[in-house]
Amino acid sequence: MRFHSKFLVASLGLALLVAGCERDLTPDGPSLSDLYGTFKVKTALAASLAQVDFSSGQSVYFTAETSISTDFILEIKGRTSGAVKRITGKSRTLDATNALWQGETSQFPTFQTEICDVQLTFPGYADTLTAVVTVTGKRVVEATILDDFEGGFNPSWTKFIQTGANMQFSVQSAPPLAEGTSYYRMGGTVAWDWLIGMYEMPKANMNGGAGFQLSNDAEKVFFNGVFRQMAGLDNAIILLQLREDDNGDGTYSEGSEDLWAVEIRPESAWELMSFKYSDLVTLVNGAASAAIGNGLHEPEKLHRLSILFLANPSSGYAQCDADMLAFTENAPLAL
Amino acid sequence: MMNVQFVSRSWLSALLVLSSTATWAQEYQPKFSLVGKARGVYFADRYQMPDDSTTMPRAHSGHVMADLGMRLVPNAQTEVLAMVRVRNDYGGFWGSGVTFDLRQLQVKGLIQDRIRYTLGDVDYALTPFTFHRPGPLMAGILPSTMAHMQQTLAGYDAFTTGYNTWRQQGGTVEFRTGFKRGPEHADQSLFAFRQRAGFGGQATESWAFGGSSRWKWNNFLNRSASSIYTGVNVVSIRDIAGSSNATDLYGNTVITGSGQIPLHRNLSFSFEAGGSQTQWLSGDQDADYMLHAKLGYFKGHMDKGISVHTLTYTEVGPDFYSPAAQTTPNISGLAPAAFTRIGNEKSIREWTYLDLFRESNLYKFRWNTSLGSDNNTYLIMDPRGIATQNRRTLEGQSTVDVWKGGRLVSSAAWAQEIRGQGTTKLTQFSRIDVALHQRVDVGHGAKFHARYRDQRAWRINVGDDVPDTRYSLPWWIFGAEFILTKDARFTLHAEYLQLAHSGFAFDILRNAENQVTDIQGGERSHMERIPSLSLKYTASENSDLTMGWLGSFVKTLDNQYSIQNLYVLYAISF
Repeated sequence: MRFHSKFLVASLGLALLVAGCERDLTPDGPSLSDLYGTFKVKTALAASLAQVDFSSGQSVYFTAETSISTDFILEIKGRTSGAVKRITGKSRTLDATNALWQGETSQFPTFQTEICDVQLTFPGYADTLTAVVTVTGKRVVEATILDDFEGGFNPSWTKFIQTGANMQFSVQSAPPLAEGTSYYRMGGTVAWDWLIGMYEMPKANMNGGAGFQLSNDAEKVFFNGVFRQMAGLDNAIILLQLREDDNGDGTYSEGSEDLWAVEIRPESAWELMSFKYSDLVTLVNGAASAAIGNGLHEPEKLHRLSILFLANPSSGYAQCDADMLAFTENAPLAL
Repeated sequence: MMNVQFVSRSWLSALLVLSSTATWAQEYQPKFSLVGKARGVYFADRYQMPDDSTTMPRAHSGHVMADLGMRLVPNAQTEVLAMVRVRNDYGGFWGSGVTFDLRQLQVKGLIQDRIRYTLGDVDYALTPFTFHRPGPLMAGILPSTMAHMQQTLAGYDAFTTGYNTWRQQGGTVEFRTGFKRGPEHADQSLFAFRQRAGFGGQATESWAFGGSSRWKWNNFLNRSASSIYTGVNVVSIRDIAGSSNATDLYGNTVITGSGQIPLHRNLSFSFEAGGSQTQWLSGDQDADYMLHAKLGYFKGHMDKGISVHTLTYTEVGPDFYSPAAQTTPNISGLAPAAFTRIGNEKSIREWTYLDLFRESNLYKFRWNTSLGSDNNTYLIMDPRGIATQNRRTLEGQSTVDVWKGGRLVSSAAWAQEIRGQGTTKLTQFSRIDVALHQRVDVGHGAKFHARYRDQRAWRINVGDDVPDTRYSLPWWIFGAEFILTKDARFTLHAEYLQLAHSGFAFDILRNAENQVTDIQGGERSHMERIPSLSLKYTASENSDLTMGWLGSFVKTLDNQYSIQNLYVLYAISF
């Protein structure tokens, strides 16, 4: 009898426990009505601001609504610069969460202060919605800028240029542009060596001798640059090297302190490339190998940054353009 | 919840008693023996597809393989098993086709003749909602020679057993607790299995812990009925904090209570109920519960005919996640090794049931901590077995010996989603299964069986433009076995399997945290016919030789082709 009671109490307890549990019965996933309904534009495209000043921290977002959730392409194009910002997604509504523009660029050059045409299209449907927004202030780049070449070539660089044929190392401003109105061109033919030219930014030349002032967390530090090479060529190589003063003696000791590197082979169109400091490796003849120094990625100990312009000596003329060389923290550079 | 320590200190004065394994220890054990399995198989495949002029139509494959388990018993309390696989693919030249592999390494023993422990590679299972590897897609209903081929080839290589065990690496401890009053005894089983190695901080270490405590009671409800069993089952899968830099850790715990209560000599009630809690890497948490209750009625005698009827209600919440019990048996997106690309466009062939007989790489060897996307090619009502989440199921089953040598097995099940997918309208499911098994006294004897299984899913009136779900999977299975000799060593088997699905269904796509990210609907059509004719020689209880012909005729929306093969399969266990 005693066990009968226990059994009964246990059963009742279990039943009460289960009865007390409530489930969230909100349907899982996107609404089927959104996915399979008839497509109609319910609200036209509109910008949250008619004029936006990115330099003062403003941003603009776009709104529109359709009857079903569908893929969209929002394209903002500068009338003067030709810069393009493209936002894609899948949604029934466009709002600040999925159609926010903070002045950055998807396709170089960067935006100027100009009128921009905005176009919203939906793949698979004929409807095209348009709007206009005016940029009154350019986006401010939050980065430790090594050089953007807008004021000419930064004299803080030390350079070495080989003797060769058709050597071109100069600031250019002919379109197509990347960031701003100027960029740097490196070109030439050196038949006896891979190295065509080299630029170095020593720690002593940065911030009045205070150094690069980078975070000590290599996961948070990014090196960024915008690169391209001459159309029709594929022989240009940019070798980025970062030397660390592991022992803190103020100099870099060849062969005993870390040298991190990455090899860049640009395409013919401008491309913003970002490299996380912790992802850099030690390269020997282009192949990853064991670290030379203490093996720790220590951005705060960066002694100097080198940019080597290389090409196979037998490949002939090589040419590469660079712009906006900068370090950022926490995220890659957005232009 | 009671635990053993509580019991031993207070009201029961518990004591540890000799477990049944003590007897095992005292039996004569040779110091060294060999156990294992060997097999030899050869397939000659022929592929055919109308208008396909590029795919090579013939492919031959075969191997001979031996799993040699060296069983060492250094003392009466300890056993060491090291099983090495030696495999030679036919066509290897002077040993170049020979591979060696470690199949199983295990140490087990007794502590004080009371506590049994096992370390190394362990096959382990608990209840269907906590720690339970799903069987092959058609476990229990495949015709006999097809089932034999599947278990001997792919199933064996993928470590599937008849007990829904997962092959794990770690350790188990088992012991029995006896009581002076109340329960007769309690069997405890504890486990700790490593799921992911940390590699010195490069990855986050992951382990599964848990066990069960199963209590046997005198039947105080009905003295004439057999004993009552109750139990508690726990499985906890956890990323180990501090084993890597990661601070976002996964964790899942499933706790259930289970029981088996004979209410009468012919009437029995069993249940399992419990809940799960999941901590995702994002920090989100999910928790839900499940219920399973079964009433069973048994009548008759095994020699004179039986009649068994069961009624089952199962409810598994949409957020009840039990990875060790909800993982699908096969990898849906993988291409088969045989005739991987077919047609003049060289499109990748989707695996069919024929491939599941032969290719172990199509099976999941370990559970997934997330559900992944559903594949409803073969199952739609319960793709993750009985523990399939988001289902409320009522099922009745009946097994009746209808006449001499004839047994009718039938079941009908209805299920419904608990939470809608993309809509508040719930998808309904049904499954009807009728099978007849018949022995016939002609010649030296013959056995026939026929089965029809019909699975359906439907959901209507979701919205004006949303297609209705109307999906059906009709299966036909036939088998005949003729005993050719008096000693029953030679048997002839003729079997046929027809698997189909058609209609409009939606695929549910989920992210790594089981959130539904997309729902994709489409028309489906698939027909697979597998006839088989084979001659089997049963040399002993543990060894047999089968020679046969097997065909697979497939028709889908995109392709129509066949793969036929002649095969020889020899298998022995020792």
